[in-house]
Amino acid sequence: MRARVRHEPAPGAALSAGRAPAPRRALAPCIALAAAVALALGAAPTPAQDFAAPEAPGAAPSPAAFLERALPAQHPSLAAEALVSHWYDVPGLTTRALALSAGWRTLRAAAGISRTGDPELGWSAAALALGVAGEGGGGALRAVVRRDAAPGALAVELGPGAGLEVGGGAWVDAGFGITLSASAPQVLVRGVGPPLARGLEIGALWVMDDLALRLARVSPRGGGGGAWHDATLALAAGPLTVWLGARDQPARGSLGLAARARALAVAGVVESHPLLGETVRLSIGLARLPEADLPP
Amino acid sequence: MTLAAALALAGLAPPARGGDAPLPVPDSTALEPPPEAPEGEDFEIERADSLADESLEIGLAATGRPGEAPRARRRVRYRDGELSAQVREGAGDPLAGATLDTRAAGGTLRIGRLAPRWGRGLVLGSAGAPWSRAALDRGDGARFRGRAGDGAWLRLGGGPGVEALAARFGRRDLGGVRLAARGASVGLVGARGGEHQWSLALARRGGEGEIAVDRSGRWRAEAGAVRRLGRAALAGQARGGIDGFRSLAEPERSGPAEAAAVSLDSQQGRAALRAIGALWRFRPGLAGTRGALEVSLRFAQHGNFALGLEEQQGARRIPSSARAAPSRLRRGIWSEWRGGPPGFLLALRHEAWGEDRLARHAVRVVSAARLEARGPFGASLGVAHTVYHARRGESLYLAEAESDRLVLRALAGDGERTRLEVRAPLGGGTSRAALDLASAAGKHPRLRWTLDWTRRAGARRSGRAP
Repeated sequence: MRARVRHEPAPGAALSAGRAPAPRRALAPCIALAAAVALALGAAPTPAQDFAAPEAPGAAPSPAAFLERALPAQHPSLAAEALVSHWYDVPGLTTRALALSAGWRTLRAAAGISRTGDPELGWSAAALALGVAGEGGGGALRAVVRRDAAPGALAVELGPGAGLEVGGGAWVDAGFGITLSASAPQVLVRGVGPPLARGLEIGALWVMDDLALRLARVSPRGGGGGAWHDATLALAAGPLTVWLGARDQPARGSLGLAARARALAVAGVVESHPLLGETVRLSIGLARLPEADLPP
Repeated sequence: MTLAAALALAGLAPPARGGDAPLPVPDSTALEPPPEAPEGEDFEIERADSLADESLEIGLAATGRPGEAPRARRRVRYRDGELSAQVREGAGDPLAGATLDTRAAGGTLRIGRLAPRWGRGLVLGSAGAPWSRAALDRGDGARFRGRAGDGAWLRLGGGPGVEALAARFGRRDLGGVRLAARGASVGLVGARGGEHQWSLALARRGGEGEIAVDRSGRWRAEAGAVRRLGRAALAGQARGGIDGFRSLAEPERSGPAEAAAVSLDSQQGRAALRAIGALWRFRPGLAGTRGALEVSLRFAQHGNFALGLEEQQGARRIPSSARAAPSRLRRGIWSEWRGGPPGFLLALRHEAWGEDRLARHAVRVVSAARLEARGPFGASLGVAHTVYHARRGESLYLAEAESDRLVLRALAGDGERTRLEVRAPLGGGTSRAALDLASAAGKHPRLRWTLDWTRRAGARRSGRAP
């Protein structure tokens, strides 16, 4: 899942590019895994990575979502979230993450740690997001540091196998139930390149009572290549929310379900890729939500 | 676009961009440099903000890149009832120079940088763009102070107005005289060696026209009119003449020999419609058309939304080399939204140009987001991120607003640009700092910084820079 190249990997860059030197014995399973992931990501860039949470359109951003897109929640809340992602039926390619968020007045903050892959090939990540949000809008900065687990990791300016990405995002209430957002999670990249090249994402969310529609366009990072588009429609019924998503390049769909009981929330989404199989993401969270965000 | 289609669109169609369009917002790609500016290079132009009477403005600025020596700029402006003067200096500053305006012989005398405009601009002060009604940087009232030449320009009022100028335009020393009365004017511009051009212009409420003739008998004529139709303003202009006619003062702004353009501006409540249709021909085999339609909606508390469609074909300027590739059909679509709560603005823009319908087979794609947050005491923070793709041979310019100028930053290829701007009061004035991070495909990210401090003071009034 990682493109081990310095600084500026091409969008959807193959994992094989600039692989870190590693003992030959360890390479065989790694190469198989790498090839599968490279194929997956080369053909289908994923919008989120280390903190990829199942997100229903219209729901308040979870701590992981805040870390991933730098879009802070409108209302302050103390929340914790644990999540796991199984990527494209690839054995061993699993991301586990824990994220926390808090808010005070207009200030918002989140932090999290993540681990992807096995001890020989995987990597660890830590993220921090800080921002402000209020009634009509919000904005934040995010930073993620990663470190490869492989002992022979690529030596770069930040240390062996280490990488940094810094970005930001903002949203505003455009009226009529529409929220517009922009997220550029990788404005600055240093050291080992991130697993995925993520470009500027411009999104629109339209909430109509229990129905929510989210549309997004993600530019290729660096401008080269094709953009992809995402549409997700969610329907809420009491504590349950179900959503359907569709994306292009290549065309694929996803189905998600979320449920909330008091402060406890669970969610899951399955995304089906026409060639590579399914990605499953699950999350469980605890949140002390403000009155405005409580389900009816 | 065919000629018939252009004419049909022209029936609907004012400039969605260029000539009479509003000033571009930061990070906009709506402005292009004038024809005399080298294509693919940064272009800087002075903003025509006015200084209050009895006031003085001082500005200090520096810009640079890591590993390079900073380049400093300085400027001083002063204005009172009788005198207005400014001096700019700085290594490599394209706006460096001085201008002095003062009363003389019952009129006004300007010495230094000149950007005059006579009539429709056929001899002095043309817009250059075939679809533009007026240049953005020529003549009184222009939104930018251009630089057509350097010299002296005397204007006397009264009954018949008299103008006289002696200046160096490009590499040519020119002298000119113009007499004007009751909307009619006749002017003569001459150069050493006997070259000269006559300008005969007539301006009436709602319309104006000009005929220009040079020593060889080559001529050019242009007329334009604006009519109100309810809440809409319909404008049209037409030009004709001999291919070989070139303005002595600004030959590269001579524009096409033949052109026709129609534009419409309509405001209906919170909605506005702007459209333009234009076709032109520089010479046989070198022609072009352009049609554009822009619809914008203004919401009282929720910002503005605009959507535009445009089609261009052919040459927009006389190519610098005979081997230059002919311009192909370009179809563009763009949308822009800006708004947010008080003190917090988010602007989103997406623009795509292609060779086919709905901008398919993209030759140029730009996505941009900008966030502005205002703090106390006039402090503000702005962050902009732009992702672009421009096929080889395509020009792309990104507008960057600085305290005293507008910079059209030339971009090419694939890349991203992030700009951070901070503004805060300092030392009785306003300080600005900007940091640009540009990443282009296959190149290391490049950093550029700019610092600027401006202070205005006056005997009667004082205030911060805009």
